[in-house]
Amino acid sequence: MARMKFLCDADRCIECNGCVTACKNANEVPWGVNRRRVVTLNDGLPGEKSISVACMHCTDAPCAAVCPVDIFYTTTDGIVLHDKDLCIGCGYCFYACPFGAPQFPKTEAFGMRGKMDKCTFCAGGPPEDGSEEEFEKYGANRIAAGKLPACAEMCATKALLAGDGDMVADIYRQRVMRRAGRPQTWGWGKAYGEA
Amino acid sequence: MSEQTAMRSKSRRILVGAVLVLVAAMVVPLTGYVYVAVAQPQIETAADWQETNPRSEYWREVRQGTEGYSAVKGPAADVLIDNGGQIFRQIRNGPISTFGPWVLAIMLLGVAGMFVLSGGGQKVEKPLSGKRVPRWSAYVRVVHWIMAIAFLLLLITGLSLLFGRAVLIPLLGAEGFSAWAITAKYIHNFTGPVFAVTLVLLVLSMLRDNLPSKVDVDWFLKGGFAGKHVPTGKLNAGEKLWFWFNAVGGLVVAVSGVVLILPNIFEARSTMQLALLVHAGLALLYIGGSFVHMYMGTLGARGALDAITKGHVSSEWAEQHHDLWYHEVKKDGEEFVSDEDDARSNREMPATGSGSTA
Repeated sequence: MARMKFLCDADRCIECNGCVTACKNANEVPWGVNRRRVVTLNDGLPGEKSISVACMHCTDAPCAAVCPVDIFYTTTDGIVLHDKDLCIGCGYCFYACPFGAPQFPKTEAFGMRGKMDKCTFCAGGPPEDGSEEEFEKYGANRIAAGKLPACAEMCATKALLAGDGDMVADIYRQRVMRRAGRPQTWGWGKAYGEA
Repeated sequence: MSEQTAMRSKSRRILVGAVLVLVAAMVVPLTGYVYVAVAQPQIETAADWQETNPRSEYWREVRQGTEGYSAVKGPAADVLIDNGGQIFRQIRNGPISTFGPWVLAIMLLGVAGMFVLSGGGQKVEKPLSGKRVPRWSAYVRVVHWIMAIAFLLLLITGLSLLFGRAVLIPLLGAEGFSAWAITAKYIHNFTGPVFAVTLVLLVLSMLRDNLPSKVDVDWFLKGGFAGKHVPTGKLNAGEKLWFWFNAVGGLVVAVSGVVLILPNIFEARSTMQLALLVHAGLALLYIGGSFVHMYMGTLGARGALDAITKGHVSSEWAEQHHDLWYHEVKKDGEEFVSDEDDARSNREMPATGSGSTA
């Protein structure tokens, strides 16, 4: 069975935010909620790098571990989804998530959190696949239709890859082998200096 | 004679030799520092190390939670990976969730033990004469009971949110518990501020009675906490300890709770993580302490409940439990016998609560 993964190639991402827009459009995400975002480190300086980040669909998901009502489940494709009908809007998943993926519409009294919204890997949610209810609550179910997440399919530079983890890893490995310049292994510069 | 001298010089040589070996064993390894100091220039300097490879160093910065720029605005949007969440998860699902129930169980067992050891709680020893002493003003009593009801609501809903997943989902099912949890969240969020306000009011009105004195030290030293009667004023050291736990611990619980229900003002994830851990951990201790308070007010010291319901206690109860205070009150001529007297005392006692007895 496939194990779905996102991978963002830091050498290709040009911070165009096309993935953010594609996600909002495909899923009709409410105002103020962004399931995906692009973060740039050293913005405007030599060596600036950008990464597009959303829910990483963790194997041992911290959000699921701290949820007081236990609404998270992992599909057979390794996608972490949640049941909005049971969500109480406590925000604990947001405190626990390292990627800042869970989002909350601020629609209730005194700005209390509404039901949590996050990236579904374009796989919808608990209601019937492709149903109107599913689209309204969770957005598009492209996986059920045999397509990949809109953000990755839309990526102009193919920096953002999504799909079966093995295939994504193969594509990335081939890229790295053919890529000119210094190795980008973590800590390479520290261990060997200029390569 | 010369043989003895030889023996002595031999043993001295052995001693000196042993000391030398010991000293050498400690000093010789330190020569490593000399090597490092001499060899230092040959190793790459720190500046060489810090020359970055933007590709590889990028991930180091990501892992360290370095803040960047994101066109998407929102709490924590500028950080790619935040390690605090993992710590939050480990503390909440670890010590707080495992030790919390033990704290509550031990406190309940302790209360039960006190009940058994004292032979069913302390009763008033002398026969009741019908004379009464005013203890708490109507203002204090009303504030106390609003606070107490709020506390119980917060206790039930708070424990539901922390342990409901383990305890209530198997009983109610996922949907049933979710419905209760949403209700519990609203009750908790709206009762919290009520509790916080009444807590502050009660702490302010009882502050004067709860200032520590030398009598309190004696109370602890002479075993007042073990149920022994040690001369004490209006409030004994145990009661004062509970007061100060409320004043400090309760206030921290209240403040951290207010932080948690205002996500629009306190946006930072780290603030929320810390607030929730402090809130849950301290609240569990608070609940444990409240078990003792509830026991002492009802079964532990029979007759004490009158003080916070009717506002007065029997003279005999006052003499038995708070003798110094009782004698002071008696000297001031504030002992009453009838309901009219009680009504008068309620009217006369100022809103700050303690009256002339403090």
